Amino acid sequence: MFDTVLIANRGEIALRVLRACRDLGLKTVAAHSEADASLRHVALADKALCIGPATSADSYLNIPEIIAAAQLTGAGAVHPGYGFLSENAVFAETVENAGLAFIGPSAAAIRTMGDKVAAKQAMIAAGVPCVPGSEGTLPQDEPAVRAIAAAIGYPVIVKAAGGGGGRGMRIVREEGALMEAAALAREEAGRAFGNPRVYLEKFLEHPRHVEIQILADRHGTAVWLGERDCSMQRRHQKIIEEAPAPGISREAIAAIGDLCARACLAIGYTGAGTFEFLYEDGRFYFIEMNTRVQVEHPVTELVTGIDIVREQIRIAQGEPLSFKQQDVRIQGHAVECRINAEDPYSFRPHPGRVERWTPPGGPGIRVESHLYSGYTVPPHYDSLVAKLLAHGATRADAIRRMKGALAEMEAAGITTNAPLHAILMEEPGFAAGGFDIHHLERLIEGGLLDGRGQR
Amino acid sequence: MTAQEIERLAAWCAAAGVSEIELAQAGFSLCLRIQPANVEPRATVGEPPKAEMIFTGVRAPGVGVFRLAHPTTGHPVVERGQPVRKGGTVGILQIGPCLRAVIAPADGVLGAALVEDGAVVGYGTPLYELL
Repeated sequence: MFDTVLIANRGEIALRVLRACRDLGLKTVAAHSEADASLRHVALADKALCIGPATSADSYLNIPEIIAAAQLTGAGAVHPGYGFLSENAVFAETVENAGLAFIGPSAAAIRTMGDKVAAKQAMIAAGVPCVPGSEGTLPQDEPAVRAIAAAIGYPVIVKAAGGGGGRGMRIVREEGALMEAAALAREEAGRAFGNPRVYLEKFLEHPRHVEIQILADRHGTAVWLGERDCSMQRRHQKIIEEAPAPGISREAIAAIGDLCARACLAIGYTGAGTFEFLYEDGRFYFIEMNTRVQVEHPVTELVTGIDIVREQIRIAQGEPLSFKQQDVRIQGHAVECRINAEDPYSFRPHPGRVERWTPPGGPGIRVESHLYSGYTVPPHYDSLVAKLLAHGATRADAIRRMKGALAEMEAAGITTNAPLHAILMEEPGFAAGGFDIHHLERLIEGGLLDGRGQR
Repeated sequence: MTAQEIERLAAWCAAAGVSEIELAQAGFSLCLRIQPANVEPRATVGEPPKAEMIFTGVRAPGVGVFRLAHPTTGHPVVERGQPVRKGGTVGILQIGPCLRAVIAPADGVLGAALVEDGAVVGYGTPLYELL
């Protein structure tokens, strides 16, 4: 059994992992890049070792150096955090082959869920609902195509089997346009990708992003910890997450949660994980699974009182889960705002020296951040510098607390997107809840940010 | 003038080696001072440079256990005061059964070892002075 964990990550999540290790009486090793020697967790870790230059490819993605660092410092386990190598099956395998514990699922589970086709097949086999579509390539035969589209239900989207990037795609809203769209998509796909095969999928017009958090131990127990609504996104990047998801019944969440927990057992998944779904008109459609701890995991921690990172480490130690499904209770409402070092209106990154960092506080407020006064945010990495979380008895209470926290927070010297969050907290669509994943981009196109800042 | 136009103007000035430009129109004035490109834009004035930043000796190329003597021969790789050539091996890092050469970054005379034999070092750890 390991007594020392090497943290193969940086920023706020490295600090979060360090704190969980400390609570479990485990020692920590910070494996950091040359640009990150001044990070907070590097100062707090029992040992620190520089594993490479600032460039991620030579440090946080450098598998041999990370393994060597673990071996030389006596670490018995590696926590990959999120991003970087966290969903890299080769890394998980290399860690295990070096006789170390990987704090995450098996390499085989990462591999299965990392492949879109394999993941969808595994989910269909486990009974998890996926976006309905044609099984394989669309046939040429007209009645057969019509029958498939009718079975899926309009609107549908014709997609190129060999494609991507929007080419060879046609949205079809009624049967009359189906055959022409299929022919055009085939022609376009053939020209663009040298592969005229197309397939059909249900087209979701106004989906929400709702995900299920799961934990599974190595003793055959898998539980779900409720859902998170992460529909506030810009360019597929989540910026606000909340739990529970407004307007979705507890029964519907419980039904999909049970399916996710059962799917974990079916695919032999262990550790923490998230099933991501699109949600539209009362139905869930699986899109992908994240085989790691997520940025927004504290939202779930606030409403369930369960420390997900701590459980994740205990699972890797071979311990059974410390609670059962029936012990999981959702209490109140939690909201998270991702604070990025970027201009709130142009979204340009804004690294630099933080002259003064004053985090907010008070009842129901939680701050996950590696910032301190005098710290310099390096330009080499993701711009996430803090996560502000607010918990309240109701959604309105949580939002009110978040407004206060945003106003309190001070990061003098760098520019953050806190003013954008403050605008969104007041925005009627957000206040109502239940908006779709295009909401923020629609607001920006509609001029929400016009005339603000120095554009 | 829009921000983009100012950005473009600044780029032209920098390319042409212009260090300062002033524009004035009705109700509008602009003064641009261009810093020379070799000045670090975020360099903080009044903060002494860290010792590591001016270190020009031999650094560790990665993670490993520093060895003064070659683990297979038992002989010192190089002696203190010995002249070394750029690219020459001046030390060994041991990672389990693997050995990795520590390379001199420049010609010079090898100074004292800065870490003890058997110490765990990381990428960039100063290992020798180079005189």
